[in-house]
Amino acid sequence: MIKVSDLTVSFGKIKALDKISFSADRGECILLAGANGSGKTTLLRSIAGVLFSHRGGIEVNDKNVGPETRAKTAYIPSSLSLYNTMNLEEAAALHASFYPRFSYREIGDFAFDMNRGVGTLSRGEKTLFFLSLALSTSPDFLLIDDVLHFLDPHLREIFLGTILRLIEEEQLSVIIAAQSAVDIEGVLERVVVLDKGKVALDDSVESLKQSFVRLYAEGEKIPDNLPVVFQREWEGMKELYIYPLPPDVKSVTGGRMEYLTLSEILRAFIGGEYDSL
Amino acid sequence: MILFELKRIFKEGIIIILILAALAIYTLTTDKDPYIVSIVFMLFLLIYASFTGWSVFDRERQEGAEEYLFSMPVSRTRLFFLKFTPRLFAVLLVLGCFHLVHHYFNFPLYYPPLDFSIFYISFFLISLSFSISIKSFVGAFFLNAFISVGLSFFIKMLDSEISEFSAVLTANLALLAFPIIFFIVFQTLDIKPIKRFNLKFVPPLAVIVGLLVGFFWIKNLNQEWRHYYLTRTGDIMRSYCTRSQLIRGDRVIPFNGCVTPLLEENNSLYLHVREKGEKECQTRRLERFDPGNGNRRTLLEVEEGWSLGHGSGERNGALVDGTYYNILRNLDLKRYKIIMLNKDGSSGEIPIYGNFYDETVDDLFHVAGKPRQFFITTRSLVYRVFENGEAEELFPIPMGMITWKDRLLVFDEKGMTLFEISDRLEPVFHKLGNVKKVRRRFGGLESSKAMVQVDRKFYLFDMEAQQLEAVDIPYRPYYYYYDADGDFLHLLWVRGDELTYGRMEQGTFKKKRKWNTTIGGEGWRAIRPFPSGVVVFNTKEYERYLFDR
Repeated sequence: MIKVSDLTVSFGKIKALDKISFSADRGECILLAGANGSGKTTLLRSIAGVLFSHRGGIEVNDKNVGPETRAKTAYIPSSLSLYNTMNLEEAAALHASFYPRFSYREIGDFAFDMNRGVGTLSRGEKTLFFLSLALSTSPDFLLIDDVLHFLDPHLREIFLGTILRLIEEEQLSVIIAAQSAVDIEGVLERVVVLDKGKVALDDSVESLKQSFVRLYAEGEKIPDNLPVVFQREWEGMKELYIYPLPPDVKSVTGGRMEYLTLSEILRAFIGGEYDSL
Repeated sequence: MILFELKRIFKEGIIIILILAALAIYTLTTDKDPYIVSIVFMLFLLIYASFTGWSVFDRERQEGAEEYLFSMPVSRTRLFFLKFTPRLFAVLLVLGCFHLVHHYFNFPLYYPPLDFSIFYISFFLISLSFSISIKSFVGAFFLNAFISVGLSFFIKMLDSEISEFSAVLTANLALLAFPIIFFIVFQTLDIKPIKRFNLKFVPPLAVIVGLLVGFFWIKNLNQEWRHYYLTRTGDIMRSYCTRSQLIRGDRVIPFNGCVTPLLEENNSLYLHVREKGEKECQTRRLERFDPGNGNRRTLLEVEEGWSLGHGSGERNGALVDGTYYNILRNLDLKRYKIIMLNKDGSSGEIPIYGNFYDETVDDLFHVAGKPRQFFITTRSLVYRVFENGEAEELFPIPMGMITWKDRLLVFDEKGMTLFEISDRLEPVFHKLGNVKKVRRRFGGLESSKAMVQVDRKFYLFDMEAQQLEAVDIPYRPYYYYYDADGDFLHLLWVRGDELTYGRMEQGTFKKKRKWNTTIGGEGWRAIRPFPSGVVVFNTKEYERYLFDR
């Protein structure tokens, strides 16, 4: 289990994360969403042990973040940071030198020419190779930072298929940082949305879909205490995004109500942030 | 990881290694002045050491692999040593090869190899400290050179008598603080901007540098000097423990170790050279030194465990017919031996045998007689030692004793007795009464006439003619010296801070001079007269008053 308690990370005067608390169990697949600069990468880096300086606690399998937890946590950074002048075989050998239980794992039916230089790989290929390295260490937790958009649909399918299989078979926990849930909704169980370093939303996908609605209201009186996440108004029509859904909202407002896809929900949260600036 | 690093180090350094090899071959085969090339060679070695240290994280920086490396399951400490160890191995390997080439092929060196090795390792370690803070190698190298070389020069400038090796070693040992602080701050290095690292790294460095500079400055302010010697040409030699200087006008010539003059002959000085040993300053050798041209010649290398006695401030040992005599003691073995340093450069020794042992043996103060006899004082007794090494106890330390050639003038509570030195000590003159020896003579010099005080009057006693000659002076001098060549009597009086010098010829004063010393007598102060003048000194300062020639 990953347990984050009151984590605060600052870069000078800027608080990238502000007392956030969060947890991830074995076998969970969590989407970590948020606008640019909301703190997703900072959170993943802190869990991965790449970022040290913080206040608050981070525990992985009941141990504080350190070399021992990094052995069980695989991290794929958005920078796809690797030694570009190495070839794949050398990169794998270097990776293996850090992990006693390293066993090189190919992803799906995608095989690399191991004599290729790391620097010659495309972004998508590099992402897949990084995943190979990550999974070759048999981690308990996989942290993926906003790299899915590098993958073409075919590679994305391979990528996600592998992850899903490992979640089911090996109870791998996955935290994927992304700005949208397109193509990955099928693997997700939970969504955490960060907004300016704080947790704005933490709910299961199922619960979210049932309690996040879009309401159209035209001229009707809108109660003040409605939990509106985001709203737009145009030509006399109000478009309200409501979460969590109160039981009597439709009867109160009389407006038209719609349930949303996960992507639409995320867009609303992220769109809501920008509109409030 | 270590193999990767070694490969990387080899690739990075190959060009410099090839340049070094080419320079080495050229230096060893050229007919031209090789020292110029050896300077270039040493410079490239320093560049190699510096680059190998600075580039410890350069690859990660260039290829953007820092985040990858920090996410690996190794502690920062282990990561540091995984990167550091192969680099240390590489620089030591190159240094070792350099020393082998120097040793077996007589590779010329502009700088002593040990000094240079210290610089070399220091450049490696300090550049390693800058590996994260400074992105440019050129900047790191020049900053490194400025700090390492600069601090060495600073120490040397403050303490001119310190050897270059000591200055380099002291400076670079102190600068070990840099890699230590780097290692400490490295423990919290993460993916944050370098500015964050520098905020933790630079302030302690600045504090360290400030403290080092301050420490050496203050240390230099507290330099003390204990021994002063005024040569016949008016130069000052002074020393204390590990340092010595010759001061000639405005020029200061440093000497390594504690170098004290034993006596002076024909403008050359016999020197006692001591250097810091395991416990304290130890006698290493006796030398002859010409202050005029700076030539030093070793007369005797003293074995470990042997040392000279203290002697007086102005003279130590005896010089007879061009041969210098003194006594060496070995407190561990409880043995003594007399050494003889001849004019032709040869030397000899006479071990003193039997049960003679007195750790208070102080001085071999006179040599006389045929065969030679050597007169030695301890704190309580006077001995003589014969050429076969046999020691004979003569008498307890008297109230006063003056020697000249084969004459020994002894003062006790009954009066004074003049002895002729032969197989026996034959008394040849005796004066009963209240007869006192007048202090001592300038520079411990012997002369045929000695000043004595009988009741309240002063006389010169001629040890050859065995006659007393009255000297009309109002009160007892502090020091005196009779110069038989010109029949001059030099006198020095000290009253508080006032020094008065007078020269008497045929019973009348021909010259008189007065000085007022600013070195107060309330603390420790010494006044030492020499044939050419007087030195007044304490541990911090001195004043020199020269007699007219």
